[in-house]
Amino acid sequence: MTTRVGLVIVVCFALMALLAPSIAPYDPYERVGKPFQRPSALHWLGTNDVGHDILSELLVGARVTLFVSVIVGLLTTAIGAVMGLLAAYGSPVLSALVQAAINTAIVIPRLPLVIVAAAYTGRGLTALILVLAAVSWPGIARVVHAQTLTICRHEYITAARSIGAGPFWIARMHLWPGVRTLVWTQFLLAVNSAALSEAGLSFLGLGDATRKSWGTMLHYAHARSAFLTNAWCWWVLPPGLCLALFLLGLMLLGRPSDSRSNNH
Amino acid sequence: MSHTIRLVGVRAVTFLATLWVILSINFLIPRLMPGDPTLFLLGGDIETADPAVVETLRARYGLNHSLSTQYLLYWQNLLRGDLGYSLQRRQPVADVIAGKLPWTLLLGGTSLFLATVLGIGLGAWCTWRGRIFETAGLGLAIGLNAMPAFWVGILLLANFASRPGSLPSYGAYTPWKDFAPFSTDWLWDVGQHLILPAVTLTLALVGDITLLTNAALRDVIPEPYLITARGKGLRERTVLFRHALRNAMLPLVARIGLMAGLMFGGSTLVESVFSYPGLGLMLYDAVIARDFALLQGGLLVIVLAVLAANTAADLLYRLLDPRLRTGT
Amino acid sequence: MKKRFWVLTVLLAFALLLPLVAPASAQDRAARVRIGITSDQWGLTPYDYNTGYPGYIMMSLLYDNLLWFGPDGSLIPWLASDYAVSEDGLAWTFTLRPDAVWHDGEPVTAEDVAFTMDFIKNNQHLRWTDPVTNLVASVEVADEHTAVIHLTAPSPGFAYLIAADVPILPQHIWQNATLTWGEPVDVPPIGSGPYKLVEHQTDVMYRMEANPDYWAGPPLVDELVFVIIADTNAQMTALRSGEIDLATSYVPPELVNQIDDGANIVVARTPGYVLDYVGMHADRPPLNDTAFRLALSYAVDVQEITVTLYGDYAVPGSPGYVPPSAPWAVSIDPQYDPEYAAKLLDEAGYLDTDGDGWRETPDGEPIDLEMHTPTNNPLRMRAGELVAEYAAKVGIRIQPAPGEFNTWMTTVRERGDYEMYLGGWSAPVQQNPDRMAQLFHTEGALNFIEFSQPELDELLDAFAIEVDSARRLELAAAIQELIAANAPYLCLYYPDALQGYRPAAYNGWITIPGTGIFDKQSFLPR
Repeated sequence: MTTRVGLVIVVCFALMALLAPSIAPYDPYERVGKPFQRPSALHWLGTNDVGHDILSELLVGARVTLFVSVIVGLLTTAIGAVMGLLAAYGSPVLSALVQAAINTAIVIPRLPLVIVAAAYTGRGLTALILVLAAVSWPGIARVVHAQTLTICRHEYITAARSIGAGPFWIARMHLWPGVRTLVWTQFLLAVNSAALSEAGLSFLGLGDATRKSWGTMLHYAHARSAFLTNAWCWWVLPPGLCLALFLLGLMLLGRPSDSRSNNH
Repeated sequence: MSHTIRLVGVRAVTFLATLWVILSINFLIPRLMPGDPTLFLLGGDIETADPAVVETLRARYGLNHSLSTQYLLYWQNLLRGDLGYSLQRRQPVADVIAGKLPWTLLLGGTSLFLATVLGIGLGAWCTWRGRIFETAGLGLAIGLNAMPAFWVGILLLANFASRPGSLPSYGAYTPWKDFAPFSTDWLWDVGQHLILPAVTLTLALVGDITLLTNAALRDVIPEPYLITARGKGLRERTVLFRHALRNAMLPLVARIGLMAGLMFGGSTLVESVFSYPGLGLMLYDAVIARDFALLQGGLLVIVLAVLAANTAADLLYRLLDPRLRTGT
Repeated sequence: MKKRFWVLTVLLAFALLLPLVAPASAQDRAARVRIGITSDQWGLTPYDYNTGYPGYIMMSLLYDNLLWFGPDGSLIPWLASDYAVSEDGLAWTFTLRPDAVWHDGEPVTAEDVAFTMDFIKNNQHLRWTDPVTNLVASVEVADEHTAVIHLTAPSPGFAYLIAADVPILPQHIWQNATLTWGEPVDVPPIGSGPYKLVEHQTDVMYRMEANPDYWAGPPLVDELVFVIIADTNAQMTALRSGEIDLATSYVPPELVNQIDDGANIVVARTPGYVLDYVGMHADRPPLNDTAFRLALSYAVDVQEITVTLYGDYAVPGSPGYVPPSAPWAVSIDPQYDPEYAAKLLDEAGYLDTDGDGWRETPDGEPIDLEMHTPTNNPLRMRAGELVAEYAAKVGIRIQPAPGEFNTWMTTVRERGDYEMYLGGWSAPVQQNPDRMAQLFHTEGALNFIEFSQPELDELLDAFAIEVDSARRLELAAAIQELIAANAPYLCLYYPDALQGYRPAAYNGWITIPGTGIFDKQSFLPR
């Protein structure tokens, strides 16, 4: 039941992001009113500090936030899952190397990395995506590693090996089904984390400020004192709530599969 | 015997190699950022500084040494335990960090402790009580997890700290009231300043722990030994605490261990919102100012903390689960 | 018995009601004023302060200069009670106040003035060593309280650059000082100013106490406490909640009406000398073409941008660079005429030859200009977007490229690897007319845009040595008109200084044009 609610929420946001240019009342990059206007019939969520329509910003901004978080989630999960499997199931040397890589990557400092990446990739979202992925994959790798180890200890793996099954066959037939639901949950968590990170980094001014996202909306809202005035109702609350709602949907989507992951 | 020695040897070498790579990364990444500390050395005169003079300054600081020379100097100082000098703050790095560490521990420790207690409490309670409670509890946890911490923090700040007589809006203590450290007045003052940031950080952490407790418990619930325990006539609460939770603890210990280690990096966003003088904000300022020495020192602290926390978690594993005590 | 009861009651009532009928509690004296600053300002000696604002001003509370900017924006005698310039402009005679003393009780003498100039020549200071070395030939100690500064050449700029800018150091404290660059100066902050520094907790606070022996009279505020609050929003919150009495972070223009209620919090408004502008790198096409730059200046409606971003709280940029409130400013209205801009571009050969909506160079090369904007200033970021918007309307493609501040500085100032950038100059640059040479002269030290115009160079050279004030104004006017005709910068706006304070805590603030209310004169008896 909760899964279905989650699915509905996520699909709604996905549709919102995809259809945004068509359903948004204005072009959010165009100044269509006086700055700092309250919600009205013309502008349902009012206007921002230069006169862009906030509702349009919200709709179009969903694209960047969702795009970044999903891409980062995919990258993170792919790299993390592979590394986790290798760490648990690879040859001793490979396993040791991968584990060392995981332990190293966990402590890489995020903030300087963002600045370095931004300096070398210039304008655009590439820097943000690369950095977020580079910093988040170790968490998933560790979890997948632990889970794989648990599976490996089961008798049927020993049995399979004893009849001569090769590692890839075992991986496909036994390991993957065992970690698959876990990986799915981890993917959702990764998207969650990436969305919050994008918001946080944009909020600090380290994202791509020329592209509207929920994070940059909050950045400008904070910078133009919206939190201190009653503008917070229509400028601060919507992006924050949208973010929270989207992530809620994701988590609901991933809930029931959690408990199945450790069963045999 | 030699097998054990070889094992320990391999372990030690791997550990040292990892440490070497990590510390080298900590050296490299800051220096890959465009710019260097001169901008902040010039202070108020940055605008009118003659570029030729700036170059002289740079030379005097060894900022135009080659990367390899700087790398050698870095290791030389590190091995001597010399953390260097913060050009931005004009203090030895060790002093800066020593000044921020207690506040980071206070804020991070309090929040992590509260989040652990509340998280495990909520997670255990709602899992144990039944479907409806579980859905409600998890819903709350998920909701909390989904809200950006800085968003929550600023809203709290705007609502609870912006009127005369309300909670303090910045800092870890009131600077001009010279309370004697650890006196009642001082404790009250520090406590007041701690409330909002700690609440924000706790709210940010508690959802994770609740969800993890729930997931871990659910894995344990179908286990036969619980049926046995109940069959023996033990009270529900004993069953929950002595048997179920104890076995569900492992993944929790792992996760909280990691959180404890990373806590030493401070929480940049929360500290920034509340102007709380912790390591997170210090690191952020050091990044902006390209204060290499301070950045390296701070990163070192995080690395050591994470390593220590992981080791502690590992040991705790073995304590909690006798099955792990044998074998590698 | 009954009578005594009633007398007591009436007296009690009177005592209780008296505060209500007494005048409003705006204070003209105070025991303590708490001031919010955004960063630690180091040791607060002249060789050890962090930022121009508020660092230099905090340092000026401890140290005096020979001259100082007064409430009407002109220079007034300060540590020197009087000064005179010789006929040939080469000797400036300063008469020091006989009652001026250092914080440790020693008297301030002409020896200190001579020592200061010498010390600055021998110990590199980024702000003063160059001007002092170039302008000051020697200092003559005529008697205990008379110092004659001999210049290398006549220089009206000497008053601004040195006499009003350089704090006088106590010889007996600094004579054995050894300075190491970037390290805290190992000298106590003993000056001759109205306040003494009594406590400094790095990154947390400063505490200053009034100097009762100050020559202008004992200060009106006994104690100043500076607390470090890095975030502007946090300073505004602290001001609202009464945790600080003055916020040195400017009140954001959109917050002024919300915060200023006329009673509890007042926002003081002063014409500002900060300029936000677009710098165009004059060494690369098409920006090396004066017609192109001029067309851009006609294409952008600076007036509208100013109102959108600052409302009423900024003055639109003058194409001649100098802010209208400066004494030597000549009135040149911002030019907004998109049709004329288009005409200029057409005539110069910038046409849209491939029909993509954007103009190309006369050689057919596409024009795609990158404008570097630092992310640490959201208003500047917005300004960049608006400038690009206006440029697009006449077919010029400008893309804002946001960058973290340090990266921006490196790209623009160091590598010079840019086409356009959005930046700002602050008050010390604007308060001094000789800065125009530093910015726009071919050899100007601050001429980062590599702009060069021989005719302008001539005028600037003439201005540098002109002593006659009437002729100086004429030259200044001609310089500004030439700047407007060449458009090296797109001058956007001069934001007002908006400083919020609580009158109930202290209300003796004086407005100094270009500086604001945070100045030592606000704390001194009138």
